[in-house]
Amino acid sequence: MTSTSSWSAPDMTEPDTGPFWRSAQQRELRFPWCEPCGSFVSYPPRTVCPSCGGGDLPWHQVTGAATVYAATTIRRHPDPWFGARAPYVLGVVAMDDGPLLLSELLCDPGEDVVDRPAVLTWIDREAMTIPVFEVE
Amino acid sequence: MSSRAAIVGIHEYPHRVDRASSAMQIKARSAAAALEDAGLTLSDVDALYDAGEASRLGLLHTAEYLGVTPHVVGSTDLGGASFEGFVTDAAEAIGAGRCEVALITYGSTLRSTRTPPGGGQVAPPTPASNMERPWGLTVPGSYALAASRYLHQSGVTPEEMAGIAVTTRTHAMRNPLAVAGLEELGIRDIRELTVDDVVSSRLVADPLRVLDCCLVTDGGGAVVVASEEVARSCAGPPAWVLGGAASAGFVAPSSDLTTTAASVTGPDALRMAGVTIEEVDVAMLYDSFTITVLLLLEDLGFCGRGEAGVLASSGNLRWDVAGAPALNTDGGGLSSTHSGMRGIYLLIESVRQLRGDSTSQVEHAEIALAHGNGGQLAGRHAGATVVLGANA
Repeated sequence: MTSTSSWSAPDMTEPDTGPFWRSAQQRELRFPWCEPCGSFVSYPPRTVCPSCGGGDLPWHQVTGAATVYAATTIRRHPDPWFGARAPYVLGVVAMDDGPLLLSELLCDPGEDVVDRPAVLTWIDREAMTIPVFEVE
Repeated sequence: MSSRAAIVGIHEYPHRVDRASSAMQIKARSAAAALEDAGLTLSDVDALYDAGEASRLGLLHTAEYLGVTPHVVGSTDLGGASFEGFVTDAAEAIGAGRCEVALITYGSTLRSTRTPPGGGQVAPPTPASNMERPWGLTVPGSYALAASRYLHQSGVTPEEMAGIAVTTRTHAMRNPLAVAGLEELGIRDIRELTVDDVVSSRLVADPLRVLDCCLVTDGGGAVVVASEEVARSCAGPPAWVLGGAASAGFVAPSSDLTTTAASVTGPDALRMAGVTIEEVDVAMLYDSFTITVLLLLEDLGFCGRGEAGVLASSGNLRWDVAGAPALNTDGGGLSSTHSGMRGIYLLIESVRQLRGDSTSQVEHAEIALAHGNGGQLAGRHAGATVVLGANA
């Protein structure tokens, strides 16, 4: 595998998760919502509800409030694009509105941030807008 | 429930670095050696199982290479847990009278070629991968997320977690294959570890450090599962398949990163075996990382929730200490071998223990539990448990 040193950007045409990334370009954080079950479908977002099997799930927006559920500082990555940016912090955030999301956390590498509140913010990465979380 | 199938032949490919061989060659050599160990030949094999790690349609290529025409086949890819799944399936097929001699073989050149299982073809995105790849999540990073949550909610410390690495290295130092492997891998300063060695090793993905992570090796192995009739005619003592189960796990809406599929397969396999967890003498638990073992100890019921840290640091998981099963007596993935899919080695060492042939032999070993974990923790993964016994 050649190291072409470019970001492995999200695929905005992937049928289940493409809408997530397309909404992100409008700075909107959206997840599929199952009305009959009264819950979001996340981790990953997908278009068939795992509780009732329902489809046609509308993408509802969530507020930016979340709590850090788990976090790690990536110290090395085999791909040069990510390797050059290490160390960086990734976390699973539990949105107050319900969904779980893997994202980048804005905090110090190695900082103990589990159970801390975090708030959504948007950054630009190679001509795309992506959601990251500022740890409070 | 009395068993009607047993593991009668085993072989662990000795090299941890092998730049000259292909995965298929390693599989074929391991298969031949395991059959020889059983006193059987390729022409006796009527069931073939393959995880497809050496190529797409791997079962077909392996059948062709070995010249085996099977009456029963299996190819469920559970990642590293595939082999525990195969033993479970083979025992069931044998018990149903569909076959008599099942061959399960594995080979990998992960270290030498850095080719991931399946041949390394670029796959189209899945929903999960499209939500992970853009962030630069690594495999250790994913396990580190599980460790982060587990340590936070249990209060277990990295020092306690390091106890897994310390005990496993103790076992490796007693295993000539493992020591030779560490030399092949170019590991300097091959010796027993202290907790301080582990927690002062370089961070890979916080909180996991180098010595919390398994080796990356080449390697392979094979096991032969046979019917009761064939088993009783083999020279060595059979390792009876008492129970087995396999499942898939993932991060559920309950958002728990610390519960694995072992919470399903362990109880299922033990119930099928008619064995309690307290009766397990040898625990071969998939150790891709120290955290993996902590979670498996709890999921399988070797200790209560949040108690794996105390168990790990107690020293009771050593081969020569009573009061808890002996853990990973070959030296584990952490200190012996991990060629991408470690499940076959869990079975091989379990059988050694039941034969009385282990380099860290548990006195009166009668029940061994092998649990494989495939895929990726803190993500979609597989669990497969096999319970083996010295008595049918």
